[in-house]
Amino acid sequence: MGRIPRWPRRFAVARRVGFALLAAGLLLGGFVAYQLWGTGFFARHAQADLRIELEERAAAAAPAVVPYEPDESRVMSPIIPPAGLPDPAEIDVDAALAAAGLPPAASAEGRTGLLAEEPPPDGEAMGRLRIPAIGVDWTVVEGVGAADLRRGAGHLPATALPGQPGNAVISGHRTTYGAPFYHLDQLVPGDLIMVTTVTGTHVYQVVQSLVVWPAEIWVTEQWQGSWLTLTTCHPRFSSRERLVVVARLVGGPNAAVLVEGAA
Amino acid sequence: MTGWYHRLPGPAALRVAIVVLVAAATIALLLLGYEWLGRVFLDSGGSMG
Repeated sequence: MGRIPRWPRRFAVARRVGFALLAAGLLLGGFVAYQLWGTGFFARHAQADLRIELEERAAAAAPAVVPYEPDESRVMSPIIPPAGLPDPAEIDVDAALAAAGLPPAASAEGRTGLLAEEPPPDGEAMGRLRIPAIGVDWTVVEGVGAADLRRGAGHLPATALPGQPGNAVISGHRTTYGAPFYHLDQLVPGDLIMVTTVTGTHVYQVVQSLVVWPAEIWVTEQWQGSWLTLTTCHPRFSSRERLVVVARLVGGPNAAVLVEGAA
Repeated sequence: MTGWYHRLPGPAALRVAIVVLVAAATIALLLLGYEWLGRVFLDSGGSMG
């Protein structure tokens, strides 16, 4: 074993540049690996905890029946259903629920009020979001702070809870932390979204998808009727814009009270 | 490459402890940086406002 020859002095700069590039490559590779896989690892663990938390909350909850009076002071939704979209009465909600492995919707027979619940404290499990068309099945946390959204999709606290009058807004990561809304762009009008809370499973029908700037908070306004709005980053791997999917309530324990023609 | 390790003060156990602490702090700082960069440039979580 002879001695390793020293680099000629004239290569010293090239050697340092080489090491710097190697270090930069390692840092960049680490960044990509952390964003794509590391963050997903954290989200999966948080989801497991949230699912248990949601089951415990559902077991302890006692939803109350409250009288329902439409709030006429709220504005109408600017989202217009496209022509040809099936009416709520035409949708076989129970068949859709069965296809998703869920029990039939609770009947509202003999009940004129709404099944209502108290919103959970920030950071706790709010409900479970299922979108069969794009394979989404995530537990939703209450809150949309950075720490909340690391654990899963998050419900904007100032907005209605799913299945209640108004507009329930749920946000989620597009490409990191398990990417719950990676395929949100594939939803088309008519696709069904199911949100299970302690009051039951509420079924929504996608009405429209749109791309807006992050500051366009009109999409979170509380409209007449019962709506669900999903928001995520757009395009993928950029925070520049927001992809927004707006859906209307068509089934579930409160649909017969809130939606004309719903079962 | 190991010259800086041998320049650390104290017995071997203390030197190893210092290396472990520095490595842990570096990794924590690196992950915080990654986290911030990811939130600002890649995916802020999709909330409005």
